[in-house]
Amino acid sequence: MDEMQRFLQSAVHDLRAGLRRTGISAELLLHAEQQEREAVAAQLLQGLAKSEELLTGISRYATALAPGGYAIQLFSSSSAVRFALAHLEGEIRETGAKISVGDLPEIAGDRDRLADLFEHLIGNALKFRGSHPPAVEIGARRVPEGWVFSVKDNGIGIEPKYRDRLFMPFRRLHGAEVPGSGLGLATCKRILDAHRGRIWIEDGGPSGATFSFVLPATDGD
Amino acid sequence: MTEHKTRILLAEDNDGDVFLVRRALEKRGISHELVVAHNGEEALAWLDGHSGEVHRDSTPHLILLDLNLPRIDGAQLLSHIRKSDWFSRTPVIVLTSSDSPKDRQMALELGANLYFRKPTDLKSFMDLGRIVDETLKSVPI
Repeated sequence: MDEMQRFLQSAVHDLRAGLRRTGISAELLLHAEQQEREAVAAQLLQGLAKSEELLTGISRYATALAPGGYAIQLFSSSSAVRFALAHLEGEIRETGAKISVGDLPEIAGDRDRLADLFEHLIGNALKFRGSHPPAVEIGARRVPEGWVFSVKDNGIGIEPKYRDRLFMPFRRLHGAEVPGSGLGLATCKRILDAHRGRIWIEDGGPSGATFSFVLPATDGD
Repeated sequence: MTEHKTRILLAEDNDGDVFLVRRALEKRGISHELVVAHNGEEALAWLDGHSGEVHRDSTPHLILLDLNLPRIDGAQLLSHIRKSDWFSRTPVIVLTSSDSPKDRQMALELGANLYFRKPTDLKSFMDLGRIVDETLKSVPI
């Protein structure tokens, strides 16, 4: 089975599961006693939000896949980080996260897609936080190959045995209790593929996770 | 006389489906103790911690297994269960949203007693209570 077929099957499976739960919740609501109604309605709305989240994930993944859809230009990578942080403003406030951004270079790439990439990585750092408020460090360093960016957090980390599957679509490490479509890191990989870059997770210390990615240098770098 | 409770391990990551399984068991009047594992790794750890003669009183009588689980999927878990000395004969009902004939065949080949495709309506979902009841009666506890 090729990757696209697997992707479609998983997407259909998850959407069908969401529809099934929503339908059953609606039935439950019809028959629910007065005191049960609020809980069942909350369950129904939660199911709808989950389906919406999945559709957003699929749409972003599809956008990342489109080879002709990338508008490559020179821009300051700090603006992509700024966009990402603006989108995550609510989560940053809610979690009390401290975000530090180092000096970031000018790069060639699609600013919107790279903003999506930073949003996924920073968003994960907030989502998989530990008992302390998240502390996220974003930086870049020059290497012969280009620029290596890193997003480092103090969260729950990722066990080494699960790292090989992290960038595959729909390979979630957490159940429905943690929000997410299961497509975030797969989308990041696709965005980097389109930029001839690559992404990986660093062998970390005792806690937290560091995601790094490299973007090839452009002429004049 | 103490009431006999059926111990069931449910490996299911979605709380909405946990709620429905619980409701189906209650509706059928099955006096039960439900242990819920939200991913395959949690289920495996629980099973490993409840195997052997010393744990006879807390061994599950039945395992309900979702196929699409985080970390360790249902198929891997089922394979582990069937290879285990202690759980190889514990009845397993696979619960899944998948309509793929391949998944069904795989689950049965791996040793599932039954394959229950999660229905899209409440009444059919509640039928799970009857299926659990019949499965338990067909296997000596």
